[in-house]
Amino acid sequence: MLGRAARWLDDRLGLWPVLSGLLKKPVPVHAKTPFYLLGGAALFLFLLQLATGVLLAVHYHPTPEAAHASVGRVMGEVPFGWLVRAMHARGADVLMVMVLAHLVTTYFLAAYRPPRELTWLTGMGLLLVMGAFCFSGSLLPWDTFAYFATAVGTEEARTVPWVGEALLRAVRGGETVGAPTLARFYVGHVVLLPLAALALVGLHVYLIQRHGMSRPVGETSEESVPFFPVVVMMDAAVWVLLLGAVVVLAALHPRELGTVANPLAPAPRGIRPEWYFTPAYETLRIVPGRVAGIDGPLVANAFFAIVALVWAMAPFWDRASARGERPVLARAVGVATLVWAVGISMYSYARPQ
Amino acid sequence: MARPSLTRRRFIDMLLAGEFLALAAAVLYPMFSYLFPRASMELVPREVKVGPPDEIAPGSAKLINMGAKPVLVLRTAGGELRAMSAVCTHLQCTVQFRPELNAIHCACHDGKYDVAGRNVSGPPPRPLEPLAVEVRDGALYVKRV
Repeated sequence: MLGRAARWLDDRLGLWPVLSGLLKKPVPVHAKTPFYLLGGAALFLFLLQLATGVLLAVHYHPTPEAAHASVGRVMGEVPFGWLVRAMHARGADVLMVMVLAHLVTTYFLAAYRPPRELTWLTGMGLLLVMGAFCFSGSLLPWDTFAYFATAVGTEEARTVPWVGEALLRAVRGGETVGAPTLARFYVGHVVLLPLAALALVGLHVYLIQRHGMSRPVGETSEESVPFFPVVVMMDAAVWVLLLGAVVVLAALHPRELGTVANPLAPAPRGIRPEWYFTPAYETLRIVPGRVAGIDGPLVANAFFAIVALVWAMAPFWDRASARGERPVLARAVGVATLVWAVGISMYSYARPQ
Repeated sequence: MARPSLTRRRFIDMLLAGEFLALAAAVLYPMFSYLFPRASMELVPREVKVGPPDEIAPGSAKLINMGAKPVLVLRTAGGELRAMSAVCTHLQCTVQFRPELNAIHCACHDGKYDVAGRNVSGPPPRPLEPLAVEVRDGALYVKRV
């Protein structure tokens, strides 16, 4: 089977038994449905972000004086820089679509039920890391939008009880958004978050290997297909399509670079966050400054935290699916969250600006 | 002989745990101090010179810096000069005067204030922080109150 060189290598590495086991492992037949390809799709897009991100870092200068111009240079002068930058920005959008779709399908299929609680929790951790990637990355071009998105986003740290002020200053590196903020966000975006993401992805994928793919509640078929070549081929097809989709999106709808951030200028009219932060943004806009004597943003943030916690803890409170019954409560919670997130986003884009 | 409640093994375990905690603190404390920004001296000047008073026409406004914070200086349609912090009381965006609305507007979450800085609609919980204006020796000054 193996060529001489491969055999030489494997005599030293000893990995072939592990690899061949992984390739031959049986996968439940329903994993051939598109829902089960979303996680792999997110993994591919994350690797694509790593690749384009490394390329961008080569030309990027993380200081308020140079950041905006360096992004402009990447877009205007560096060969294919426009493509790399647009692929990184739009790739983030597509990655968030896949991550959220993966989250929602996993939730509604109750794939988090025992023994996959940790797989679910590492996934929630990855969602948090991806959100932090988007948030920190949006500051790096240092344009007007970046500046105010960061000013408002970090300001919300102040609402955390007791430690809010200290947290705010630690995140910003000072009183206001400035050079220390950019340095911190850069280090987070290119060092800390990638390390955290790789560790969590590793754990997440290991857990999926260990426990195998879950079968939906009530699924009795024991039928399975081999991972290689059946599932690998489908994954590969999806990944190639996704690469094409990101390139097309990047070419037709690149992310523009706004005017350079000016801390003295007022927030520009019509400023709004990316679509994935819209439910939070619109909620903050609607909630009055004070609700029953409590700070409005604190109320809104407490609401977001509770929703996130309820989702994250689903494997521990949804006892019905663990018993193999229809998870009525979990589905109701899921539908209510989706109605809020989708409804308020639609309202946000439809209302007169 | 009764066994002592504190055995030699347990004593050494506690000693080791204590040493481990001390080591962790010795590593973490410098890390946290390194990461936490030093409290700035809040170098916000008591007053700042804006320029000639007639530079701001009736029904218009100007943004100036007072230390690191933006300040809005506006002249009402009636000719009265006013100054207030330009930092929105909701989530600290920088507000702007909109002559067509005769109001101060924060674009981040659509907060509105009247020309006196009172919050009138949207999420802002408090009026903008007021500042004093003074015309002295032919120049306009904004002062902290």
